[in-house]
Amino acid sequence: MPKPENCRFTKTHEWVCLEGGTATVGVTDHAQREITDIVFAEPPKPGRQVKAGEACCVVESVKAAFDIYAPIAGEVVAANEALAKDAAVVNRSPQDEGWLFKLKPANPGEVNKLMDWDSYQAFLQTADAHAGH
Amino acid sequence: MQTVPDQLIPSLNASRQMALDEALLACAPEASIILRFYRWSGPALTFGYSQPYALALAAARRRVIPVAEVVRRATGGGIVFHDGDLTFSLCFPWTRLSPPAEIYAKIHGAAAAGLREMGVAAELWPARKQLGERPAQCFIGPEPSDVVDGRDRKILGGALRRRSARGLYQGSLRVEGWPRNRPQLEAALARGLGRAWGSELSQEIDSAWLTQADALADKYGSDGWNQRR
Repeated sequence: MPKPENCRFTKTHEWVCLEGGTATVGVTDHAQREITDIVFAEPPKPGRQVKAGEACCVVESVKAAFDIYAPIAGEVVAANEALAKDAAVVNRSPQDEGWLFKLKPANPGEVNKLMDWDSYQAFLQTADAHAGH
Repeated sequence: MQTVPDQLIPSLNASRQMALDEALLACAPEASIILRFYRWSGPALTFGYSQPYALALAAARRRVIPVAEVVRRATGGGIVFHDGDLTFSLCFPWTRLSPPAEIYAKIHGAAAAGLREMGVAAELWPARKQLGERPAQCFIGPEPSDVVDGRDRKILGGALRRRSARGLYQGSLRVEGWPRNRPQLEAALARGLGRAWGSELSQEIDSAWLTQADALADKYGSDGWNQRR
């Protein structure tokens, strides 16, 4: 399980954790609480190239579909297949079993442009935290 | 910029209706609030973003009124038959990531208020009245914050999509008197929603969005989109 302290965060409430050259991506606990009961998740397929900030994943809760964004650029190397049977795991375990997809970063250093845990916690206290892109 | 009143947009099939709504979501100014009433070129069925195509197709085949098109929406929710409903969409700022149930209740509360002014019994179905498993078809029964009439029959259901800081709502209204009272219903909904969102609510469509919709229509008519699951 990637510790939140070792992850980076976006203003659109995704987390990314870089370990061994692979970046794991999911939505934050704040995001899953706001989206509420997730019944469906559609992570990007392996092999897809994504840009930082690109809408590449969809989660659906009560009658509402939400776009999820790639925190950094790279190639999708894995999607969480467990979500097909149980998307609610994103609610139960957003930063562990509820990860969405893994990327091979185009530029691993790109993660350093994102917020660290403390910065994200401070961001959540601001009005901007509630804005999208 | 050249705008077209939405009443002057010609009748569209389901693919083009969905394409125009996506164009609004993608292209409309960030702070704009746009209400659009559909004019259908023929009976159609739309189904929710995550639903299986086979489920929608089976529902279409069971329908007495033949369905010309079966099209996946960008929004969530269930199967909706468009063969006697007033369909409309609302594109609006959704800057703060917030529970969709709150947005849904806001839209439907505003719509119900407008409907009541023209004498339609319209109330929100209470949140506590979730009846078991969520139905695959929109009008099977009411869900929390759907609009129901005086006999607890669902008359308005809808679905949402959030992209960047914008939201798209697509709604389907089924009331007695339709379609004879269409102008009054449209005016009532516009009044109710206008009060909830303020005077910024517009029913003008930019011609550039229509062009963008043309480019998106093929997607909504394709097997790759509709049969993706």
